[in-house]
Amino acid sequence: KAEAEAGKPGQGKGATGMETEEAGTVTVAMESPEGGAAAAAPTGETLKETEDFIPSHTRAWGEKEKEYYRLVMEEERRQFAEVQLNTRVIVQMADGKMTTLKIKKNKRAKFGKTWQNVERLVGKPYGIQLEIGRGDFDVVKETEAEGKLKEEQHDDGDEPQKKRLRTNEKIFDDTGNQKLSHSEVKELQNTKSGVEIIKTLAENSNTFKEKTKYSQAKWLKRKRSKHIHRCTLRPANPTTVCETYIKNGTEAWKTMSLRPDMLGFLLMCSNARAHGKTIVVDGTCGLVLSGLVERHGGFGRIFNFFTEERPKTEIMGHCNFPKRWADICWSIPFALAVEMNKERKTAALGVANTNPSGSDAQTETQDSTTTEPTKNCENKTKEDVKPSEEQIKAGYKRARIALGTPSDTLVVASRYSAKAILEQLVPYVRGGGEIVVYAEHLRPLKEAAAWLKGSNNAISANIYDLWFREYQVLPKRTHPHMNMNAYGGFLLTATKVAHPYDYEDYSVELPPFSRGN
Amino acid sequence: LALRPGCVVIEAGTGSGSLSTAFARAVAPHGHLHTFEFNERRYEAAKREFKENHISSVVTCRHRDVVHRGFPTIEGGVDAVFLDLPTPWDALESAAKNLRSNGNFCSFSPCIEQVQRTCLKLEEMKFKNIRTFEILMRVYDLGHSVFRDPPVHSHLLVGSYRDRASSAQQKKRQRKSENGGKKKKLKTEPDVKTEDTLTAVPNRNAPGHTGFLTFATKC
Repeated sequence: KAEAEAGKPGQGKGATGMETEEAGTVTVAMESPEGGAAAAAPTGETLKETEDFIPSHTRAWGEKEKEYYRLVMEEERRQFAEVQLNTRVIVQMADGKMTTLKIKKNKRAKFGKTWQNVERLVGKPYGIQLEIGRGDFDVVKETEAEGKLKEEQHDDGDEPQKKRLRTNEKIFDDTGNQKLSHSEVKELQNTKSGVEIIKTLAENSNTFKEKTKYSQAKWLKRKRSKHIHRCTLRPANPTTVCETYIKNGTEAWKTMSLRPDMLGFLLMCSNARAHGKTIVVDGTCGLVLSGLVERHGGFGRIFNFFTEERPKTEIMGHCNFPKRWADICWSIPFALAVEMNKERKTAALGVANTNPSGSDAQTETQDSTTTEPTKNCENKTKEDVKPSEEQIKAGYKRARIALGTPSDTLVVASRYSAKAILEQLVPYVRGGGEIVVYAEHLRPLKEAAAWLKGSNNAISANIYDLWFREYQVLPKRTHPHMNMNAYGGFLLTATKVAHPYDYEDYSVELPPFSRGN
Repeated sequence: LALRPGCVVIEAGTGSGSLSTAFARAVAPHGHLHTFEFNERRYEAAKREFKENHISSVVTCRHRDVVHRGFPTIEGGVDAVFLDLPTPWDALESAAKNLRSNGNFCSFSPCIEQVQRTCLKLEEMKFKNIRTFEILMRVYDLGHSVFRDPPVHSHLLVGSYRDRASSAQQKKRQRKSENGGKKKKLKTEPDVKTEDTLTAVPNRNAPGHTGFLTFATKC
């Protein structure tokens, strides 16, 4: 791609150039673009900022930064404009069900009742309804009939006093209300288009004309979702993927029932940001990790301590992250952290260190995607292969780098005991850093909060849960939805306090960010 | 709003600047937040605070009444818009002009009538995926509690149980006289506070409503 080629030389200079500047100025890391610009030659003309025109904030940047970020932002914005090949997309059917879909060449997927070639979706816009025709997806243009129906729905103009309002007083629910039989309707489905079918059904219904405007609209909506095959495409970012998983009843357990609003709250309380250092224990198949990667945006580091034999991060592949964003994630087995803690304890007690025993089999496998980086992933194998000596040693090296300097944030979202995980990882958080724990039940959070307070490791340890209700906003018919998601898990947040047992070994230097490290 | 480092956001109604700080954190280091406030005192206070907190390179606060004058044209377009105004539908058109295609919009309004008008305007302007939520936070208080079996009062019993219980009751009367005749309350506090006696109960005082959040995506 043009971006990759042009981006690399500029990136090589730009990235390391900016990194060295930022290494010196930690607290004012936010002001680095202007710091970099001050070092570089200032641009010639500067557009004046008037009351009605605000020049782009990139005007003060140097040429290197401008070029680099222009290409980066272009590429990142392109993926939101329309569907591209080799990306993930979320398909929302008319009845609200959502599924993720990978756009690949020569791939077929089931849309409702029909199988379609997925390649046809390339180039289609997001967010607009697409009609699933015979082998092709057409952007839905509102036909006259549909437009009229919609108008009637929104017509909430003052009804004349003389006109008697329709009610459901004389409407009785009978199957005989529809004159067409089931087989006749099926025949119609083969011959006529969806809109015509609905028109025919409305004409042949005894009760349709007598229904109120609103119940007519409800009836139409039900028939539409049945007879008109439509879908909407949504971009795949952590929020939409989160919603997809919890809406699907069978997959909600994979993400620990994490709701999108709870995910946002978690990320906000964690204070994960660009140029920050985050330690995370992710048991949500990579959803929390994806949210953190989005916040970091390619800057800083994320260390994922996985508790299973392999890091389970399939959602990272769903979110279409560019390589440089996902590169900041390093996966390290949690067992290594436990091991290192034992080492440090014995070293502190003056006992000679024993040789570290081999860790469990840890090949890192991730879903095969093209945007998923495998910088630290040795071999993408699907069989259980024991890692070689070199791989284990590389793992230890990574762990030492990860835990060598104090981190800004600790995020835990795991089904294992929160207290046990915190006991191992909390000493690596800097004083004033955030500790955030997500759990599906209150008990682990209660124990963790009590431990944090009792051991003087943290202050303001609070447990929260969120109430989340969606509203239907229509003229004269505004009310909350009939069903709501009442359970989104619980969150524990605390602020770390510097503690005598903290492990701060400043002799370990974090290497400059560069590929292949 | 799907904010990530590099996004450009506009916000109207800076207010205290708390949300502006959160936006700044999300879009740093190469993104930007343009925020507008029409109250002069609040604008100056917010501007000062952004400078003190070292985020003025990412946030620019401007003194402008966006409802009557509209948003200014921002070169390069904007990725997201956030409105916390009493009449967001008036500022919507000029905000939408700056918003790039497929950008996200959010409006925060305490009253449902405001939400209704905003949604009508959004539909008129062909925004997609219009959804309204309310989100409330609930804090849990930690404490300790034990759940004991209910007591057996012997004076309510008849028969053989009475004798067994009456001896216990004599002992109880002795203890009561020692106490000085005070009435003993139901004991919920445990003698020893362990992990098993921990309880987490929601606080009785909780926010009941802050505002409705309306999200939409531009065509």
